Amino acid sequence: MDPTPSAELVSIVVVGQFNPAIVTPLWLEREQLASPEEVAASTLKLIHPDVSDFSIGEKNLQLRRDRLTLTTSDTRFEEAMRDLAVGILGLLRHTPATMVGLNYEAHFKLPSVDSWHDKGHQLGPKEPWAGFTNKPGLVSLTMRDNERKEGYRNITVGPLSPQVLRVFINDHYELGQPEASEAQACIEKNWRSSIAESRRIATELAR
Amino acid sequence: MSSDSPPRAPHPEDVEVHVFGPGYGESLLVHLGQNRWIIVDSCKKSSNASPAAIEWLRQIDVDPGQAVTHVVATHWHDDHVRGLGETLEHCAAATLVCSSALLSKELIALFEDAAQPLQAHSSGVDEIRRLVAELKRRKSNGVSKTVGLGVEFATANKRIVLEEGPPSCEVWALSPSSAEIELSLREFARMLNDSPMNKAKPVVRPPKPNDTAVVLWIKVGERILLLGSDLEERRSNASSRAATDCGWSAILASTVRPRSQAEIFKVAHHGSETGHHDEIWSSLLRATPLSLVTPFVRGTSRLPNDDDKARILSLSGEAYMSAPRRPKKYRPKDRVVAWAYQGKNPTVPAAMGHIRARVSALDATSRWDILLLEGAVPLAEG
Amino acid sequence: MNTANAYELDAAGPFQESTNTQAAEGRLVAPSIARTSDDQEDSSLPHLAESSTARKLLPTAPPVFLPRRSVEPRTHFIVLEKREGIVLEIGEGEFEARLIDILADEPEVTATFSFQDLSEDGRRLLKPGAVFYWNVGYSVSPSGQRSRVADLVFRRLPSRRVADVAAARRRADEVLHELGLAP
Repeated sequence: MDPTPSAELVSIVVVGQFNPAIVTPLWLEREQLASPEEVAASTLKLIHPDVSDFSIGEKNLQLRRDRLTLTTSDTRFEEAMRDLAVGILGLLRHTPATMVGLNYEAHFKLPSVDSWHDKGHQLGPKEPWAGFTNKPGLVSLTMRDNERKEGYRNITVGPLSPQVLRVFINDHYELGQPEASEAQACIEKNWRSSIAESRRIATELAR
Repeated sequence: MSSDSPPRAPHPEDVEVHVFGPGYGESLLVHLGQNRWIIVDSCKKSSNASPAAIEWLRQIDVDPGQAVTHVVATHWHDDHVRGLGETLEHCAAATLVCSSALLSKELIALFEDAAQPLQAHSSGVDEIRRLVAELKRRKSNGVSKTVGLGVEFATANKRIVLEEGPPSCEVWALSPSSAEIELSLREFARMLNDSPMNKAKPVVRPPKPNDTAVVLWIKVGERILLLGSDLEERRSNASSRAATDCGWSAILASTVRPRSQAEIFKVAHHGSETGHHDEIWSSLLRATPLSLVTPFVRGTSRLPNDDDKARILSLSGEAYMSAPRRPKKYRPKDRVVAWAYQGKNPTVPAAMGHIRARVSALDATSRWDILLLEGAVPLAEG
Repeated sequence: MNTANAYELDAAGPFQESTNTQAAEGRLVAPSIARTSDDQEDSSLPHLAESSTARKLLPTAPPVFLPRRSVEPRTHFIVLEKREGIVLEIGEGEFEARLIDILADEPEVTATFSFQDLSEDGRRLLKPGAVFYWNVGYSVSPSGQRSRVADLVFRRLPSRRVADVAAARRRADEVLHELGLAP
């Protein structure tokens, strides 16, 4: 049976030049990207010329001048979160944007502390470190897959707490045209396969 | 009826018709002799499966990239186009045959406006856009094995294929008429112009009735087939235009169509009353033809209904249906999923049905050999 | 635990801070105006300050003091079935929909949903052809409490504008031109 995550976080990050003052819950409602009920129940963390930070439904949105970040830890809403990103970028289509990150994080509770240690040994063998450490232990390991010309996939794995393994995958895309519409197209083209592949990688690493 | 285990390719002098229909969906695969094949419309067993016709060709070791000469898109209803774009991608040597309305500015603009990103399901809009993308790819790569763009527009009484034999073969389009095409284009433009602004994108649904589907008359050696697609008959009170301009009436009124009567009929529009015209059976078909039906089963919609079934049986010598009309109940294994579906009457299509009808093209006296695979049934039992 | 400097996304908690397009469950922290050697830093982590564009806000903008908030508890969802739904027909108090499996390659299901399965927003968005997400599984609260859920959430995309229609017509012209079918 496949390992099941005990927690997940799915996120989309777009690096560009934004005006945080534009994007508020009311603006989303006006643009039909959020319902009146969601807006009424939204949690405002900060609305400031430099940062707009709020939660709407189970989706968290933070817009800084240099990046848009959308996250959800409830995977029932990962498609809705993705649609929100696509919707915002579609409305701000001429806004400068240079990179997109389709990110996935999962935590796995391993069956025992021993299996957790075994996983550490498997991912980070201790032998190369034996000459200059007394009790080496893996804290974090990142591998980068450079297969894609315009971008890469970073896979970071390590212990989060005893028996809990954390896997974080940053699927990074460099945009051909530096515009939000290009970021929108990138998400539309790559989201489904990216998230499926990230889940597969995380599950394999936790096995 | 015969059994065919393992499945084998037809003899070069055989004509063979495959009807695939899972209960929602329809696709035909026709062998025109000498390992020449045409595919008419497309359906799939599931989202990730290959198109049914492509899967079958691979099973009998036929390379669709070489052997399929034409891919016909009779119209763009969802149930006739699933996997159509993928089919054309697999059939590198095939010419796409469709109505000119399908590649008109009006329809392409309508589809571009209606396109929704990131959908798990594939609609008629998505499939036609994928077809167009494949045509663009062929044109820009210059690697098309077809002549020119590789598109042939089907209009009423136009011969699309003529090949020498033995067996010789001809394929004719009997529809749509130019009047039908013109009306379609006007309807597409109206749909684009009339959709409200500042609201969610409208869902594009094909106009009813369907009087622009491509009906094919096929002659292979001595054998003649009529593939009725989803063509319906526009009733006289539905429009001010003359009934003879549209639907089956237009075909029957034509004085320049091929006159020979077909012996095998892929019944139009899932055997429905709206796809029926008495004169199809008296003028276009021989007495007591072999009838092949694909059902339409979706939720509470069922075609053919009991009256349709009785009518087709009374007019046919033999009749077969690609799948039963009743869907199967969905029984999830997981208890929580089963709980979620309580009271929702969940159903899944019956198995992908498949009828194979094969006969010698050169021997006019030989009988059709019918093979029923997976969920296919005699119409009387379906 | 990482106690990062001003304007940087704090990596404390289960989700680590990031560079480039890595996401962070960010918490903007009260800055130390002047960095001194007494500032706590986790030396095992890369110097995120160098990559932070927040520093560009200084010296022209005044510093922003933000309250540090604690890690928010999160609900986790264990998915058993996830489908995309398309509304087929709407009847009296119920509607029929196609459900396509997103996770596995299970056959398509047709099912009938009651209006009572819908939120107020769902009732507004319900129309033939509307798309929704159907998720079945367990919702796990921050305290670990499990409950069965079957959620139906309609898809929201931006509304259609005049510019969209004009763009569609232009694209149609381009397509026909590319195919050599332009009049």
